[in-house]
Amino acid sequence: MAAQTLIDSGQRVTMLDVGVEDRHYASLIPDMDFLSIRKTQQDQYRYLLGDSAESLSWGKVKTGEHLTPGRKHLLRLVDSFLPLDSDSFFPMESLAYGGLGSGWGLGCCEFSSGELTRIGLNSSEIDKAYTTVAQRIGISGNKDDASPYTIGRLDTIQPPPLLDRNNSLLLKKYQKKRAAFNKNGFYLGRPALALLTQDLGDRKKYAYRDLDFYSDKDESAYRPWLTINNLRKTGAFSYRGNLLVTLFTEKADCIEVNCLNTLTGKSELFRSKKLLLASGVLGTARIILRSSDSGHSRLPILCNPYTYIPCIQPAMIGKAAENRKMGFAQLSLFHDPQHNNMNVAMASIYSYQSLMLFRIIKEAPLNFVDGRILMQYLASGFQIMGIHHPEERGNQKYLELKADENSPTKDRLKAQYCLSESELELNREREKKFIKALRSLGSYAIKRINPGNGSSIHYAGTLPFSKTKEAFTLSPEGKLNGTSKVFVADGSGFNYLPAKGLTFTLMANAHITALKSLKNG
Amino acid sequence: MQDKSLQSEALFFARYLLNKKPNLRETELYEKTIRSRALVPHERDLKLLAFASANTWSIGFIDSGLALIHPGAEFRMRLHLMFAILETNPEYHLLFLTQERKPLYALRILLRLLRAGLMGITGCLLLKLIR
Repeated sequence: MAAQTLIDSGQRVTMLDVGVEDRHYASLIPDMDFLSIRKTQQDQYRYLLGDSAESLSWGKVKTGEHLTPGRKHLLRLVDSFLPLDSDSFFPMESLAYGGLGSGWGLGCCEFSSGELTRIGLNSSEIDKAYTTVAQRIGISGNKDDASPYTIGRLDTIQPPPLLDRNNSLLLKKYQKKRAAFNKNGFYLGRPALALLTQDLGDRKKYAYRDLDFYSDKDESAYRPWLTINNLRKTGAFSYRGNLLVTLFTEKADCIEVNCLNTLTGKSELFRSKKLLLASGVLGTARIILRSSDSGHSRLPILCNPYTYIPCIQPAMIGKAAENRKMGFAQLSLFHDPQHNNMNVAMASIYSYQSLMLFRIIKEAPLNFVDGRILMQYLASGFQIMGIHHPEERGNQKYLELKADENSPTKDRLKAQYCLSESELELNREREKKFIKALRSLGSYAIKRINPGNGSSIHYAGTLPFSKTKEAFTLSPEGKLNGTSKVFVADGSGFNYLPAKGLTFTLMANAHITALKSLKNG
Repeated sequence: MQDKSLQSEALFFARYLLNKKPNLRETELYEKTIRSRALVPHERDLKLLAFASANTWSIGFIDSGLALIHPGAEFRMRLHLMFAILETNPEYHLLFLTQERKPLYALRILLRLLRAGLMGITGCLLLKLIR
């Protein structure tokens, strides 16, 4: 997003990126919907399960476990080039072309003015940036009870996608109990999604193939690689792949950027007038720590705690597989007990169909024969509620960069992440309220699953915004304090992390940071 | 693990799961995946696999018992693999995709659960004997 802003402003930009792509599965998926594939295609095992059945995983639920064969490339090379040790923090990082955005759930949430101020962002600037980003990526949504937390003040949105029968029923029941829900601080509505329901340029509107976990064929879901592809058609943008940025050195007349070629293992050096880092919070943290000669090795981290709760909707059990189903969240439930759009917790509600029975059958304490019959019967009534909690700083939430001669970068990240007892208790109580709320709508929680700290894939706060200019902080303009021409355009500066999906705000911040970098020298 | 052993394993697992003989593609995928994982099964798991191979009537009981006391066992992982492979065979889509059911079907489900429970208890006892 920052790159597009710079190009639109007449700048010349070189993007240094590893850029792992899926060159294997994307082309295998036919131009059909999920149910048609299931009923007719002999080679469906290749892209639904994987040529080496790589979709199968056992043991403790891990971050990224849901990735289908066509998305597994998001994790390729990460263990080698981004080593991380922790027994309390299990993040997901990516060296993919387009980054973690290639697996984004598309949820777009405007943060409130209060939240933006607490983060350290200028709310009027970000509001304008939200409109710019929405016009670039295409957002569909609805004006309803959830819209203060989703589309907010946006008016350039497309209509929402169709609701499936499970979520239509939930919404209908909510509308009858709306007053009681709102009184308790709960607001249910359609999420805003970076998903087209009307054609936009060359991108087609969503076709309800229910292959959202497998393919981006029609480009109806926004992915950052779409922007990179478009920029590469311009003469002012240069993309250099297979390069891991390791560190930078600010000289009098330029910034030297050191990279490691992931194919050859050789170092490569680039020079630029300015540097904009947007490697994701953990990636940027590594680069900044390496580039400092202060010996400082520890940075704070923010990460939304996340729990997911499989639920069963008895009214929907024993129904035939549904055409026009969608893998993205169809409803969002917000908990705003103070009714002031601060410290809001968010649940996304998903139906279950295209991820198949094999992913869930092992969770039942039954033999596979009886389990199949039971799960086949229940699956039409399954819903998944994913709850994100807001996040504050804590002393036991940090990253450190330690030397490691065996790693290609000669270091590895160590992470510690522990919630305090009061945070754990607050989150547990909040989850109970969500479970109770959903139960009153006829969807019953089966169990709570904590996939581990870091599994929200929402990270921020390693270089907090600060006006004091101390080291390892960002100025309000996104400049790395202590430098004159290095900017950080990801979530590293956030002082607080709302539970609402942060990607839309990250993109808005990237746009603003890019604009501000132009004003700076 | 010998290829022939994996082939017969694929066969008796598929027969247990769906009462179907796996086709060549399914057997090859099963073998290939087991080999590529390069796990060294525990002696206890090898014993179970050998017992099940010689006494295919026991697979359901072993599966049921392990589901209760050791769901992550190698035996279950292999069954799960064959399950996933069979699920992606379009010929069997009616056995996996959800279907419209009449309300009385819930009774069949209850009976299935009862059966599963009894098999689980029996399976646990059998596992003690095998081990």
